Amino acid sequence: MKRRFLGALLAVVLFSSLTACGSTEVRPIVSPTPALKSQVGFYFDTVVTMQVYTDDETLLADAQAECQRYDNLLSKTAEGSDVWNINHAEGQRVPVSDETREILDKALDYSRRSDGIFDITVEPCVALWDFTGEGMGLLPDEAALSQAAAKVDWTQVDVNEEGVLLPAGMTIDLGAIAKGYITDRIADFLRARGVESGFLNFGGNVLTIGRKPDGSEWNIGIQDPLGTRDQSIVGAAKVSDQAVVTSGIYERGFDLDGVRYHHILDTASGWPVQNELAGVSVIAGDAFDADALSTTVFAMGVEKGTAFIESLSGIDAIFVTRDDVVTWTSGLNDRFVLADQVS
Amino acid sequence: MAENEKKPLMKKRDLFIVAALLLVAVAGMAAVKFLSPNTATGSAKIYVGSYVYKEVSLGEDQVIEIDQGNDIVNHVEIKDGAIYMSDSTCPDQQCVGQGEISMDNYEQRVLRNWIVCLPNQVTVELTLEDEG
Repeated sequence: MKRRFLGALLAVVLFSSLTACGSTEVRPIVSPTPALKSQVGFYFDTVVTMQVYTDDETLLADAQAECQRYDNLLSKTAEGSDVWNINHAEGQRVPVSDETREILDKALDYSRRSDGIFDITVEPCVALWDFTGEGMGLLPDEAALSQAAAKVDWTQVDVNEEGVLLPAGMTIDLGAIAKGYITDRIADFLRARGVESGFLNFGGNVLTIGRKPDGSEWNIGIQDPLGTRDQSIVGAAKVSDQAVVTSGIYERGFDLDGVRYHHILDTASGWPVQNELAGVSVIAGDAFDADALSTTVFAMGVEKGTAFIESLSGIDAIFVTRDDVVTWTSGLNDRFVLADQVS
Repeated sequence: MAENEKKPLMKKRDLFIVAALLLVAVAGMAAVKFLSPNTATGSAKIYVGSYVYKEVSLGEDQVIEIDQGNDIVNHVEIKDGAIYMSDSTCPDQQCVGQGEISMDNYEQRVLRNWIVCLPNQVTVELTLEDEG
């Protein structure tokens, strides 16, 4: 009896040791989770990182080719791009791709809903500022800036099946939305190729596909616009199948005589928006909405911006003032945690 | 009778020894599996543009020089299981300001498991699991 008992014990020990090793070695067969693949690329004057769970060996290379295609289509500086053609048409209607028409329609919709606080025709003002290059730290000529601001008028953009017509002298800048639009299209591309879990960061525009493979939500660090180091966060939000985009005064800008000059321009005056805000992060179902809304809501300020976001369903925002007061909309009450409470 | 009783006892003791040795072996395998440097401290990929320049283990303190010519040079340093951009010839120095990444802190970083030098197109990715 005793011998049989020991034999059984030995068998159990042997068996469990075998299965313990076996379960880690054959994991891809036991678990359906595809492998994590990642890729980095440089498009739209920024860095694009993609991390997706897939067994498709060529998927990320194909996604990079898509990024390049959109870059060629929507670049403001590349001669022959749709945007370049529109800006150099001198009052003539120019044919554009379906993608460009879709972006313009969506952009004009945002202008309508924000009463022109969001306006892609702000380009003549943008062109007079330099927040990144050699001219950083210099203010534009006041008369030139007010002349440029007088040209800003989204109602003059005429989009139809034949193309886009812009009055001579007017120009458009898709900087506030093109990245968001492309992020969404690349996410669609990845989903169509079977990706159920992934994390994209297109120059600060974060988009999550599904949930993490273990079924939990993605924990996204919300950028601290006042942070002394670039990576400091004001807190973390739980998201799945959502985008997070932050607009703030410290991304691109400079200080002069105690004033912060930054890239979010008041579409009425052409000068940087000066209100109590240091930054806004918007969480939305897609990156286009998050991108357009972060700029719009920043320009609105805390009070108006909060009311605007609360009036939209499925969209939330986190506001950080220059005095370091952090507030958020009601949908985030159980999804956002302040940094000092993040474990 | 006395000899007959002793034989099974010896066998029982042998079996205990075998079982004990097996347990030690299994425990050893588990220890190797869970304490190996790769899973405990992680590894990272350094990219130049879209291409992997070098894969490194965070278990070993070292300095990696990425020299692209034309005075475009970055230094990536690994210390105590964390990786960071120690210096760069880029004008904005944002990569140096992005601080260090380790398995412990990446979820509290805006760029999560990445360090990005946009002007020099050098990126560091903390590898989150075995990638195919």
